[in-house]
Amino acid sequence: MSTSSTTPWMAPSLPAQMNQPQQGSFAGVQFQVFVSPYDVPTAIRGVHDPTLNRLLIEFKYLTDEPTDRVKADSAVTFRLGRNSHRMYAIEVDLKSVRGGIGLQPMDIEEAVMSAMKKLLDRTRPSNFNIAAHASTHSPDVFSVVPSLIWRK
Amino acid sequence: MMYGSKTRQRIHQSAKFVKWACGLGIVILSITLKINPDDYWDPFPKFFRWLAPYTPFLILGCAVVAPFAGWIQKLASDQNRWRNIHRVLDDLRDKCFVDVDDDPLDHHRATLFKHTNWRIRFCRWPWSGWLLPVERSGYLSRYGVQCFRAPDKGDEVEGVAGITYRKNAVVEIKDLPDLLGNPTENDFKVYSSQTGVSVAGLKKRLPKARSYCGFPVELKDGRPWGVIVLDSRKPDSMHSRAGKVFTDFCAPVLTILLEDS
Repeated sequence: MSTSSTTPWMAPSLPAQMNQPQQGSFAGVQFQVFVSPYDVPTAIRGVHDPTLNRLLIEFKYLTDEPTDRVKADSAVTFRLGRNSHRMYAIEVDLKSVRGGIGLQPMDIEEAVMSAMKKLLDRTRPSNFNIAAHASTHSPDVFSVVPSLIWRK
Repeated sequence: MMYGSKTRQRIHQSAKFVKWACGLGIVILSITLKINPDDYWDPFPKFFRWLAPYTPFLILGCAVVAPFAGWIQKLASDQNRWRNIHRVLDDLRDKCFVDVDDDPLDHHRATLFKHTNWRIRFCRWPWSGWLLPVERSGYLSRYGVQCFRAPDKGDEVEGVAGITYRKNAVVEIKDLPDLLGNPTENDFKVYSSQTGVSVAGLKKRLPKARSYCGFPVELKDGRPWGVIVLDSRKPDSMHSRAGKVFTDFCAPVLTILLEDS
């Protein structure tokens, strides 16, 4: 039986420009657009499964829906909301990130960002940017992986 | 008609009464079929003999009407749900507008629109997709609320409600011209170009609001359900943290309240 370790749900780090309105328009109508509150994760956590050597970064939203697994590359698989296509979780196979040896949090962030770029057309852009920022700017979620090397 | 309206409550109560009356009627009429009228004192024997030929038809009628009344009751039910949604809209209105203490309540409103594929109304494109008002804050200006088109062809959406539904994001429009004074043709054009409603539509139903803020509303499973539109007669009275109020307080409660709606 695997004994995965989990961080508590914590407030995600959100991009500062998130609250800045964007100028929107269509058919000549001008308006200010803000990100939908449903696209902003309310919490983030990390889950590490030592048996599979896999890190799972999970997001919590106002909504909760069934997800579909979408494999981006050998190391990263996403769980996207079936209806909204929001990012609900990022699975990182640590063995496949630089061979899994001497890994630093930065390596995981790079693997996640590189995988996310391949998925730009499959997700909601507004949610994608926030989830990308939250997953790469919340170092606490990586603290569940004991083998990571933290450089000061 | 608003879901939480008094008319709907009356329909609910009436349908409930008819359903129970029909049920009780079936029981009583069935008993009268079995009894001997002569065992009872006047005027019952005479009444039972008069009723006897009609009894099977009355039982059949009750058996048909009772489920129909139950169906109507179900359609008009969920009064508690809509009472709570009304409270949520009232609170959202109270928290999202600033410096409006002296204004009448109906100058600053929050309206919940539900997206439906068709509308029971003699109008153009009744089947094209609509945003129908289902609840509004306060107790005034609750009737005759405008419906907006939100068809499958996204380019044809109407109004702030339609724009919000299409963008699935928070949409804010402010500093609109005052159409209540002596509006010029240019005022109508500016208002029309900023709100997505035709000039003819504006002239037909002169809007009083000068600023709007639309929020998307989703169900628990992430499917879009409709929108909430805040409107104010002031050009810029929306609180800068209206979005946070909606996220922290309104959206989680609405997600639960709208489940199975």
